Amino acid sequence: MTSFQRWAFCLTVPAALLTLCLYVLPILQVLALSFTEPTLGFGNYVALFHNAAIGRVVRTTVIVSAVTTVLTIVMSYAVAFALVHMPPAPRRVALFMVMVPFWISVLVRAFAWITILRRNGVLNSALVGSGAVSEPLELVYNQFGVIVGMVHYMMPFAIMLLYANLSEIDLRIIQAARSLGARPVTIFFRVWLPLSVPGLAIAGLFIVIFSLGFLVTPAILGAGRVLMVAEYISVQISSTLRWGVATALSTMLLLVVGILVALAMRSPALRAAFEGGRK
Amino acid sequence: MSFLDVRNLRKTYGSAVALDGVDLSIEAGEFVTLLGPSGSGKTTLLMSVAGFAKPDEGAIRLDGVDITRVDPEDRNFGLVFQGYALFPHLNVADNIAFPLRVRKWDKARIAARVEEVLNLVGLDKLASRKPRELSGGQQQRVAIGRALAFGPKILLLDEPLSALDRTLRDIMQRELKRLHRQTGVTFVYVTHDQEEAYAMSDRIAVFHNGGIVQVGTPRDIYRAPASRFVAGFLGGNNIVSARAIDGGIELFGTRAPMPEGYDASRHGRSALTVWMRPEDIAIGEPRPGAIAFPAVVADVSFVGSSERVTVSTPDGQELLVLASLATARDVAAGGKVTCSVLPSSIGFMADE
Repeated sequence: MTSFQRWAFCLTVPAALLTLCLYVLPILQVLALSFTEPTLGFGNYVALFHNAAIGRVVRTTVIVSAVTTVLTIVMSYAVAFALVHMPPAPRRVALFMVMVPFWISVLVRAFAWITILRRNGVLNSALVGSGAVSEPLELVYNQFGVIVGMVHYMMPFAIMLLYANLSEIDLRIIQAARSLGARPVTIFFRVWLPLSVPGLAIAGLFIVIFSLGFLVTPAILGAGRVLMVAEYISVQISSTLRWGVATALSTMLLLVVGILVALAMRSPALRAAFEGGRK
Repeated sequence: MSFLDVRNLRKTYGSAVALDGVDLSIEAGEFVTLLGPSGSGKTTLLMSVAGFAKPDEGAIRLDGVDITRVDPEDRNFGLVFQGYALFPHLNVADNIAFPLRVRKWDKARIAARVEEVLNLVGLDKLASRKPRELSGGQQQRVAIGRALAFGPKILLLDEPLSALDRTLRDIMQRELKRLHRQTGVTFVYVTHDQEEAYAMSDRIAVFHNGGIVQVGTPRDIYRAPASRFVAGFLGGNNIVSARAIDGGIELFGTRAPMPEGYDASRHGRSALTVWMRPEDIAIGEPRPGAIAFPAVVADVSFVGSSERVTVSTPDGQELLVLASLATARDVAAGGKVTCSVLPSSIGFMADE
C-alpha cells in the first residue's frame, strides 16, 4: 500500500465505526433477545413452527412476494426492452417518467392506490358507470390490492436495473444475428433473453428481498387483512410486546435473505455484476 | 450484367452525404476492397449491400434481381463486423451453428458442417471455448467461420483486422486469401489500410467524400493514381509542381523533353502537378535518358530494408527518395547529391 492508498483507506474508518456501533451491535443485541426473551433457550424458534397464525403470515408473505416478483420482472422487462430500442429523444422522456415515482413518498402512493381501487373509487365508479360490471369489484384491502401497490413500487427499480443490463448488450451482436438469417422472434429468444439473464437475476433477487420485508404498502393496502412478516413483527414489538417472537422472526427473515444472496452469488454472472465491471 | 451491381447509390444522414451516387460492379468470386479514409462512405456502401443501411436512391442488384429493399436476414450474405460481434453466451461451435439452426438444418447435417467450418478456419481444438476465452485472432476466425457456415454467396468484411497487431494481421491476410481461394465466395472487404488492400484484393475501389474516385487492380492503382487525392492517400507518393514550356517540361529547374502521357487539355497548359514514387528516384550517376537535377540532402532515416532520404530541390520543393543501403552509404544531411528520374516514372495529375 502506498501512503496515499493508506490515507484514502483511513477516510473509510469513521463510517465503519459508525456502522459498527450504531447498526451492527444494536442489531445483534436485538437478535440476541430472541434467545433470552421471555426465557433463555430456543423456545421462540420452536414456537415459530407450531404457531398457526405465524404459518399463515409466512404463507401470505411468500405468495405475495412471489407474485409481485414475477409480475414486476415481466412488465419491467417489457419497459426496459422498449427503452433500449427508442430513439434518444423519446427515451429521455420515458426515463423521466420511470423516475417520477421515486420523488413521491411511498405513503402518498399507497393512499393514491386506495383512492383508485376502493369500492366507490375511481376505477369502480368508471366500471359500474359504463355498465361493464353491475357490482363494484373488491380491488383493495386484499392480496390483489397489496400486489398492485408493491408492483408499482418495485417497477422503477427493476426497470433501471434491467435497462442498465440491456443497454450494455452490443447492438452489433443483434445485427450479426440478423445477417445470419435470424428473425425477430428467434433473436429475442436466442440472443436478447440469454444475454439478459444477469440483469433478470439481479432484479429478481432485489425484488424478492425487498418484498419479503415490505411494511408500509402491505399495511395500508392490506389494512390488516393481508398480514405479512414485516407488519406482523411490527405489531408484536409495538402492540403486543412479544419481543421474543418478533426478534426470532426477524432473525429468520435475515437468515432467509442471507441464504438467497449466498445462493445467487454462486452464479458467475451475478458475482460479476455485483463486483462491477472488473476486467 | 455482373454478379453484384450497385447503381447510383445515394445515402444521406441529415445534411451529411455518406454516398453520393456510387456505381460499382463486382464479378462472382472476386475479392474487392473498398479503400478510403474514415467517413469516405466505404462502410455505408458495405452496410447498404448487407441491408442495414437503407439507401435514399439507387439500386443494388444481385444476379440481375433488385435486392435494394430486401431485409438483411433474407439476403443470405455473410457479414464480419469490426469487433467480431460474437454471441458471448455461446461457445465456438454454437456460434458457428447459429445460422444453421436458424435455417432449421437437421442435427447431423449441422454437426458435420460445424466440423467442416472449424477445420476450414483452424479452430477444431477450440470448439467448446467461449468467445471471451479466445485471443483476438481466434475470435476473428470464429466470426469468419460463422459468416461462411451457411454457404453465403457474398462475404462482407468491415475492417476485420483493425484490432489485431501487425504480425497477426499479416497471418490473417494470408488466411483470408486462402479462404477466398478455397471457398470461391465473393469477398467485399472494407479497410483504410492500403497495404491490406494491396495484399489481398483482385480489385480496389478508392473512396473519397462519398464517391468512388478510382477502381482498378492494386498494381494499376499503385502505378497510376487517377487523382491527387488517390496519390496522396496511398501514401509515400511525391506530388510536386512542374511547368510546361515550349513543348518540354521544367522539373526542379531542369528542362527536359515532355514525358509521354501528357495531355494539355486534361493536365493544364502551363502549371502542372506531377507525381513520382520515392523508389523511382535515383541518387548518384544518372541512368541514360533520365532527367537529372542537383539536390541538397535534408534528412536521412533508416527504415530497415532501405534508407528514406529527404532532399530539397533547386526550386525549393521537398522530395522523398527511397535509396538502397549501398547507394545511401555516402549520403548525409547537408550533403549535395545528384538525383534523377526516368520520364516514364513521371505521372501527370488532372488539373483540379
